[in-house]
Amino acid sequence: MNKVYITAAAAFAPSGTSVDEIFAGIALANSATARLESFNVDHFPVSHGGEVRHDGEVVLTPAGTDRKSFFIEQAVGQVIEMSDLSRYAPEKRQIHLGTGIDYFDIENYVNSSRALTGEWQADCAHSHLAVKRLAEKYDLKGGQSANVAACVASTQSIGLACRIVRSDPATAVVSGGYDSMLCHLHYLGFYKLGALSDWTGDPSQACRPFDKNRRGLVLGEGAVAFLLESSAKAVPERILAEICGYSSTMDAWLVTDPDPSGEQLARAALQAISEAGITPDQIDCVHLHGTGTHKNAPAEASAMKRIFSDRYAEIPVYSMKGQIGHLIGACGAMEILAVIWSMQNGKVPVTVNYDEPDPEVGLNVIRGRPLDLDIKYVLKLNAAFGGQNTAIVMRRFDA
Amino acid sequence: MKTVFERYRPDEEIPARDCLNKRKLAKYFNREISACVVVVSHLLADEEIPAQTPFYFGKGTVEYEDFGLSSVVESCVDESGRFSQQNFVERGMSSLSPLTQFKVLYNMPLSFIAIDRGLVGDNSIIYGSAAGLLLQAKHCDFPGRMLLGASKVHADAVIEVGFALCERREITTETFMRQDCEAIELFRLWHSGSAT
Repeated sequence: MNKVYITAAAAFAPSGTSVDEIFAGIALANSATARLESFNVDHFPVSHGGEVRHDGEVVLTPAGTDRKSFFIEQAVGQVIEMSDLSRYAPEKRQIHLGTGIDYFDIENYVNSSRALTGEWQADCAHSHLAVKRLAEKYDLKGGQSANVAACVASTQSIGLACRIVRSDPATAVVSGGYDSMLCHLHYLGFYKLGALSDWTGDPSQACRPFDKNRRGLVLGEGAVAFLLESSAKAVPERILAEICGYSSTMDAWLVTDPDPSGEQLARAALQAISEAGITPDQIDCVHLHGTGTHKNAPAEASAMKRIFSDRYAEIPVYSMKGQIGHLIGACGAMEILAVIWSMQNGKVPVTVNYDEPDPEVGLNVIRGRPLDLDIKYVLKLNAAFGGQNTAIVMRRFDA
Repeated sequence: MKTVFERYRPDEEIPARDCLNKRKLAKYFNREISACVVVVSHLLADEEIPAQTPFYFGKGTVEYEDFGLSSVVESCVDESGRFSQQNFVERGMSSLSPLTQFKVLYNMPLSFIAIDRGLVGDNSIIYGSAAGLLLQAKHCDFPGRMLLGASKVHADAVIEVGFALCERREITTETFMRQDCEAIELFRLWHSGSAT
């Protein structure tokens, strides 16, 4: 059967503006969340987040910039530059990215005459137009989409890309995700929802996945682009990892909470594991969604019990969100970088800010130092506000 | 292929509550979500669909807002008519309900329909593009019918919603793959019988 490989990656994250810098951050397990700097957060009830940083400094953009589109345009440009797409006819090149809701510059709108007439469109950047621009710029004529399934948008995009490459080995797909909720309206919209961490101490400790004292999520931002190619076309020296299983399900539970039984998240995982042609016993570690909210951790623990039975408390798990925050429409794609790091380095990373185990969760969350482990298969889980779930199984590539 | 396509005027009542199995959900809805709930109920009125039915949805480019932007703007100007950060935080955002976010997030039509109808299968929500929605459908490997939907709220607040229950073989994608149009256009044409 035709295999699907990731053969190129570029990313802009709170922990760095290159894959190497992001990998170094994962190894060091240092937090990249802090008080926000890229827009004015004076008077905000909470003000921490994960902004894209280069060498530790927040990457600042002109006021009114749609930061998620700004970063994805650079990430895709880098992936195109490092890949030889001339091997593919334009009709065999596609782009499928996950993203979030439209950027809106409320300050500029209020200060303009447009606010008097209600003409707000000029201050709005539609998320999907970045995909369209990139498709046109790089001659990606085979198909395009912008998935907006909240926290599983980018993993659903990668899942679609995987299906496309598997069904047509002559096609290459640029996939990944880009999002930033770090602007006035979106940030406080999440605050109003009651989802944001109300941690009052050091902002770098505000996101605490699976920790007993977790206080909610911390919003982040970023963009990541991958190139997916088939085993028929991929150059072995460029292969980073294989995507060998994908599935998506819906909880059909509550719009506000994940299903505490984890039933559909587990079903997605088992379907992805089956598609990979393996059994749960062959999964070496799990990179979880791990938002740092009260309800996420027990729901994922329930799913883990369903997937791994008695092994659920032993299999090492990890969440990247303690380090960089929640990238919403880009989170899963960014977290796939951590999966690649795990497989390439034979280590399960430390979940940042996991200090005190929660007995009601009972997962083997790695802390202190990365766990050395021969890692061949990793299960990546994500779950969205609204009840959508994704599972991706990745296999180490041994040349 | 079974399709339903409906259009709602800005002042037209949309009886979503009457179409829900879980009526309490209606408190989260804006008019777009309400219209989606009503139209899908019309499509599935005499249908039993498996819980595993795949569900793919196309969200139209946002041209209209009804979450209360004007009230936020009114609240956050200072005495000189300029944006005031303090007023924005203390008065502007206070004017919004915590439920506003449910009306803003783009995956909500799909999520609410899935919750109300117990749909747990493969899914996705695509922003803006008919071709993107069709690519999802084309790569669906479910052996039975799938549920496809799209909505669009136009700048004049007219809402259009379309849903279809179909098998993959019933969809010819080539025409739309080459066109730059919104997903709702598919349903308008399918409903008029102009394209499959």
